[in-house]
Amino acid sequence: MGTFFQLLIAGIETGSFYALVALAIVLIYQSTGLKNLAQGEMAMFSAYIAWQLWAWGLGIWLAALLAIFFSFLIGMGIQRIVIRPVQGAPLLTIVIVTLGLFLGFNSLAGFIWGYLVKGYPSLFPGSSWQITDTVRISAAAFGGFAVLLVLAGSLFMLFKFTKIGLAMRAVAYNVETSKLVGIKVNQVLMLGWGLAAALGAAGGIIAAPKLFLDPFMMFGVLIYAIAAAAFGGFDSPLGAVIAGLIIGVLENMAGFYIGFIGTDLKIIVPLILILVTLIFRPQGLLGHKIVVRV
Amino acid sequence: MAKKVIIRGTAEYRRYMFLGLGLALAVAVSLPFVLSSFRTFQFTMALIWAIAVLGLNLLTGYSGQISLGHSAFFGVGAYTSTILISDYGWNHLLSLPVAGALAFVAGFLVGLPALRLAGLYLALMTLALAVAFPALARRFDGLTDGVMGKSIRSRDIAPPEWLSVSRDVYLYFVVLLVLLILLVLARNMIKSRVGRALTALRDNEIPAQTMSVYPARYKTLAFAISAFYAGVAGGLYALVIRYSNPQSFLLTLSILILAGMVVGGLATVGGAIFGGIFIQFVPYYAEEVNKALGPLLFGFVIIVTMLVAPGGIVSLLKRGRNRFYVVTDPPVVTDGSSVTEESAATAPA
Repeated sequence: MGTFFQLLIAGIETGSFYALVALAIVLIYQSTGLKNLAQGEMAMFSAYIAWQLWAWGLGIWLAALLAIFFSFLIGMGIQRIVIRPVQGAPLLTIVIVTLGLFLGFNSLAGFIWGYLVKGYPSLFPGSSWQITDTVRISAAAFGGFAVLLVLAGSLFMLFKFTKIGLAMRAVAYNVETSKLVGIKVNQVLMLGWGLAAALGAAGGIIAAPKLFLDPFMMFGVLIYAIAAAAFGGFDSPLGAVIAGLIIGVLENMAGFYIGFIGTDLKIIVPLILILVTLIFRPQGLLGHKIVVRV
Repeated sequence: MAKKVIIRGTAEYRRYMFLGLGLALAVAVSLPFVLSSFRTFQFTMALIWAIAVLGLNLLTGYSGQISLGHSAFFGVGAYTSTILISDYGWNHLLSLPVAGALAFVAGFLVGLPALRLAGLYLALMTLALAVAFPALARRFDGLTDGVMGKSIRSRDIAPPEWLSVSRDVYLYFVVLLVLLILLVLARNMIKSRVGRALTALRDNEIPAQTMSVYPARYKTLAFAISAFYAGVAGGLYALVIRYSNPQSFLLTLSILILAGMVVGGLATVGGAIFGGIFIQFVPYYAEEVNKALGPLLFGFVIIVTMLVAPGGIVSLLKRGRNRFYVVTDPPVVTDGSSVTEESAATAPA
């Protein structure tokens, strides 16, 4: 039983950063109908920024906050420079552009920082609490989960109780009508990209001490995050958070209890989950069915 | 001065086509005799990439789906050839159809669930497939020799004795021949019922469905054929490089193939060759500066191409050609006598 709870905690720890990246993907999908395949690489790049600031001598918390802020700006810049010109183009065009971003960020990180794995400072102390004889919770696991809750909570508040949030929801619902009531759609979309990049950055910075920083760090996380977004429903932020945590737990359990999967084939878990979701509930756990008028 | 107008399908058009294609073929055939063996090797690789790009283009350009799993199908093909040749003593040429066929089956199985749903699910599924493939290759190390990688002995790939050419030249012609066959097949497929059905689905699925074009069937077929091309390219890769390990078939390979497709030109057959040359030569020169510069340029070029010239190199060439003469479809005859001006004027070049 002790092992079970230990795996559960480990699962929630990894699930936290899956959920953050999934939340970022959902945020962009909601407002633009676009699944940003470069989200993971953007998060990896943000983690590098935080690492660089830390290596220059800043405290890790300050470095992380600054990196999140810079990522917010980078996200807005990308929307403005790269995404806005292709808005309204066929979906294929936009997807190819996000793949270009994917490759661009990945190799830019390699270009600047090289391909050697870097050790990464944790935001949280290395201590842990002994709960029972066999179960202990590390500060990192608790901290990552807390960051997820705080960020998801603030996002919820932003959407529900602020004018900007209302505007964002309006744009997600109907761009044309939003324009008619005077919402500056382009600025709202830019803000959406900025927020998504910031969320992803938080995910990357929390993930980095555990996964070790290199340009390929987020390949796996992206798959888990996309699986989480698909499983939770691409248009449901709450779904993304819950599904992210579930996937983290499932992955750890499957790796431990199913011998064939082991540590090497964990990546199959999200694959199967996407498949099962597609077959039985294509709109995802908490997502809405989209009905298209012809 | 009025520009010269050439109408498709006329004798004049065919004359120019044969001239152009003949010239291209003559250049392709003479290349290995004028170049060093290393350059020949590079062009061999470029043609292999061209096959993979062509396969992806059949899927993306003509049916509007994106696959990021072509590195995996490429890997399936490469491992199939390697295993058949070095473990079972097959003739290296005979291993190629099997490599393609296995990739076809793999593509069919992946496409079966993913293509039943509209949107980007194929991209997501294949993205996961590409990330999982190296892990799978390591896992089944009984077949693939795991991280060690598996190689083919050089004497297993010898040119037949009656052909007195070096191995590099021999392999170049093998790849060129396969590419030509696959180019013709691709062109014929596009002009066939299947090709028209796919284009109809890409452009608007619902009207296509009302014309009883069943989306899942055609898309799955297109995906499997596309995987077949990648598998054959992988098999050829194994013959030329003679060494495969799980790290050779990463997600980035898929994106490189995609970049080649975008640069060459979406929904073109000939663009694949430009794409292949691009994939082979850009990293080769860029890596002298920095290992990451090649992929960085690829990412940059993908975005710029999509923003500035979504039709890729082929569309730029066409634009250049149109400065001198215009190629149009034959005018549409509506009621047996009158030719609509509009159709002749707006027909795409």
